[in-house]
Amino acid sequence: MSGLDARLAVERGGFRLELELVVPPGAVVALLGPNGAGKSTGLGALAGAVPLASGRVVLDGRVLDDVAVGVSVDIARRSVGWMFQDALLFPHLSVAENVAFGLRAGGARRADALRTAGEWLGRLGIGELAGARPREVSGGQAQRVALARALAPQPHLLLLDEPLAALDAEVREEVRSGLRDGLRRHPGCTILVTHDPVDAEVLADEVVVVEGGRAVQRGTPDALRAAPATPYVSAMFPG
Amino acid sequence: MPRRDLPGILWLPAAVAVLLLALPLVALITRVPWTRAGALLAAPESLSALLLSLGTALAATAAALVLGVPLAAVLASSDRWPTPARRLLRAAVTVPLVLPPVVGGIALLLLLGRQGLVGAPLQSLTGITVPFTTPAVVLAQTFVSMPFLVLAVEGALRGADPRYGIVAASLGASRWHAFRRVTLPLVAPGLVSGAVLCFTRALGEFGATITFAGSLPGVTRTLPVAAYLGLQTSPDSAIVLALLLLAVSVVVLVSLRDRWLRVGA
Amino acid sequence: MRRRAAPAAIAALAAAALVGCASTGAGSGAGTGATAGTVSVFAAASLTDVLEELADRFEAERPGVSVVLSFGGSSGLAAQLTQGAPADVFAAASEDTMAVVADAGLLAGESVVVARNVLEIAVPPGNPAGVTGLADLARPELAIALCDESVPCGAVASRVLAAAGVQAVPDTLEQDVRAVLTKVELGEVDAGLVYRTDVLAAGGRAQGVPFPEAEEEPTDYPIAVLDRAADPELARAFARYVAEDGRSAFEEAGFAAP
Repeated sequence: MSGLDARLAVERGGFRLELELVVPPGAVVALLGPNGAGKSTGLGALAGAVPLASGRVVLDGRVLDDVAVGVSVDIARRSVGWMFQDALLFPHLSVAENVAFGLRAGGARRADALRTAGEWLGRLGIGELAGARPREVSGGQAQRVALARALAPQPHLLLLDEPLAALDAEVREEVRSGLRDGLRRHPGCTILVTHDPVDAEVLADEVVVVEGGRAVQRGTPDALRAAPATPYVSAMFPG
Repeated sequence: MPRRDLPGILWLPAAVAVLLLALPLVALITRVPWTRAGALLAAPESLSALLLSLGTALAATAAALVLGVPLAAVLASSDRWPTPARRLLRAAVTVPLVLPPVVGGIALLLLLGRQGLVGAPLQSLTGITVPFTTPAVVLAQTFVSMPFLVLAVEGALRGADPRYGIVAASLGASRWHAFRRVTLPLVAPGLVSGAVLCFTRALGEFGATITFAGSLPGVTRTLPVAAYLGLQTSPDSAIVLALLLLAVSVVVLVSLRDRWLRVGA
Repeated sequence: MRRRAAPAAIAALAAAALVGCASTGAGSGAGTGATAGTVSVFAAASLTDVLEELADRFEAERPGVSVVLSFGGSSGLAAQLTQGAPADVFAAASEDTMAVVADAGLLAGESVVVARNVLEIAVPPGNPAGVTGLADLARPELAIALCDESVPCGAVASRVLAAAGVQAVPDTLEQDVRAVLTKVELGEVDAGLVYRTDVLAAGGRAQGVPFPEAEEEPTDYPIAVLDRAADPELARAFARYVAEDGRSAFEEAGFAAP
C-alpha cells in the first residue's frame, strides 16, 4: 500500500485543470475551492470517467493512467469508489442489496455479499435499515447507505463529491460525524471535494485549495489559517 | 400544487375528441348480437384466430424485446455519432411507424419472398420459404410493432440519470452487469409500457400480415384478418371478433396499468 | 371531369361519404337540367377497366354528366350499401351478392346480367411449376393462393374444385381476386384461381392456364339501379348504357356475353 500519486491535466473546452495529488494510505485530502474551480472534474479524472490530456495516475503501485504510453484502466477495474451529492441508491434494490452490489459485481455469492453488507450497515449505525427500500429512508440515512455501499468493496481510493451539500443543516452535522467514523474504517485513501471549510476541518488531514484549475495552496487547516495565500483562502479560514 | 383552471375554450374540442375516439366503440358494442355472441365466439374459426393472434403477438413482443431493447440503448447513446449516421438509424426505426402496413408487407415480401432479395437464396440453399407461414405473421407483427417498444425504451433510457451507471461502474460492475442490473431495472416502467404498446399493436396488425403472410385458418389468419373477412359475408361474426380484439387489448392495458400503479405507489 | 375513387374498401367508404355530400348539394340543381348530373357507381373490382372506359364514353356523349366510380370486393360493397352508403348504381360480381342488396329492398326494379366470366389458373410468367390443369392445385409442394370462400371468387372456386373432385391445398385464402393475382405476379405462389379477365388485365405479369371445368361454373355480373338514386333517370340511363352499348368493351376485356 503506497497510496495515490497523481499528476494530471484535463482539458474541457477552454478550461484546463492541472493537479498534483499525493495521498498516503488511510489519509483524507480535501479539495476545497469555489464553483467552477475544477474540483469535480478532477474527481472524474481520477475515477476514469474524464479522459486525461496528459499525466499519470498510480494507485497503491498500480498504474491507472499513463497518457504517455496510452494506458487507461476502465472505471470498473480501478478499485475507486465514488459518492455523489445525491445518494443515488438503486431504487429497485433493498438497502442491503445496494450495499452488497459491489461485492456481487466482484463475484461474491449472494448470501455472503448480503452478510458483509449487513456488517457494514451495522458499523455505520444503520443496521436496522437493511431490509428497507431506498424510498423509505431519509436523505441523511440514504447518504450513509451510499457510504456503506462505496466502502463495502474496500476500494483503494474513495472519492466523495460534495457528499453533504444536499442535506438539511440539522442532518448534515450528524451525517458528517457518521462520515468521519466511516472514513476511519477505510484503509485506502480518500479525496473529498467540498466548498464548506467545516467539512475540510472535521474530515480532512490535508486541504488542497483549487482556484481556476490550479492548486493555489495546500496544508492542514491550521497552516492555511496561519498564512492564507489568496483572498479566497483567507475568507474560508478567517484568522 | 396550486394551478389555474384550464381556459374554457379547450373543453369543446376536447369533448369532441373524446366522442370521436369513444363513440365508434360504443356503436360497435351496441351492435353486438349478444344472444349469438357465445356461439360465434366458440366457433372453431374464432378460437383458432384468437389463439393464433395471442401466440404470434406474444412471440413478436418477445422478439421486439430481445432486439429492440439493445437498439433502444444504441439509439439513446448515439448523440456523439456523426449526424448522417444518427439520422439514418433514427429513420430506420421511425419509418415503419408512419408507413402504411400494407407497404411494409410488400417490402417484407420483396426481401423474404420466394423471389426476394434474401428469400430467393434462402430457398435455394435451405429449401425454407417464409411467406404464408406462422413465422411470417410474427415477422410482419414485429416489423410493425417493434418501433413502439424501441421509442418507449429509448425515451426512458434518456430520462434515466446516467450517474447511476457511473456508480455501478465504480462499484466494479462491468458494462453488461451495470446495464442488466441497474440501467434496465431503472427503466422498467418504460420497458413495460413499451412492451404493452408493442403487444397490442402486434395483436391488431392487419395490413402487413395479410400481404406478407396471407390468410389461412389456423396458420396465418389472425383475429383482425378474420374480422375483415367476416365483414364480407357475416357482419355479426366480424363484430364479435372485433369486440374480442377490443376486449383483449383493454384487459392487457388495464391489468398492466394497475400493476404499475401499485408498484409506483 | 370525372372523379375516381380509390379501390380500397375504407377509402371507398370515405369517398362514398364525400360523394354523398356532393350529390346532396347538387340535388336541387339536378332536377332543373335533364343533361347535367352525377351518377355514383359501386362496382366489383374485376370490372375496373371496362367500367372506366364505358364511363368515359358515357360522359363524352352527355356533356355535364359525371360518373363517380368506387371499386371494391362486391361483398364488401354490398355490406356498405346495406349500411346506407349512398350510390345510384351497383354492379356486382355475383348474383348472390346482388341478392343481398335486393333482399334488403334497396333495388329500383330488376337487376340485369351484363357479362359473364369464368375462372382461370393464373401462373407467374413462364409457368415455373409447370401447372397444366385444376389437378395441379392439389400438389402439396406448390404454393397456391385462392380467394376465401366468403367472397364470390372463392365461392365459385370451391364449387369448381368440388365438382372436379380436386382437394386443393391452398397456402393462403385471400380477401379478393386482385390479392390472389398480386401474389401470382410477385411470384410468391405457383398458381392462383382468378377470373379470365384478371389474367388478361395482368398483361405480361401473369399468364393463364384455362381448364374445362371452369365453364360449368360461370360467374354472372348483374347491374342494378338503387332505389335511393338521386337522379333515377340518369342512373337507369347509365345502367342501360353498360348493358347494351358496353358489349364490345366487355368482350375486349375477356368477358363472355351473358
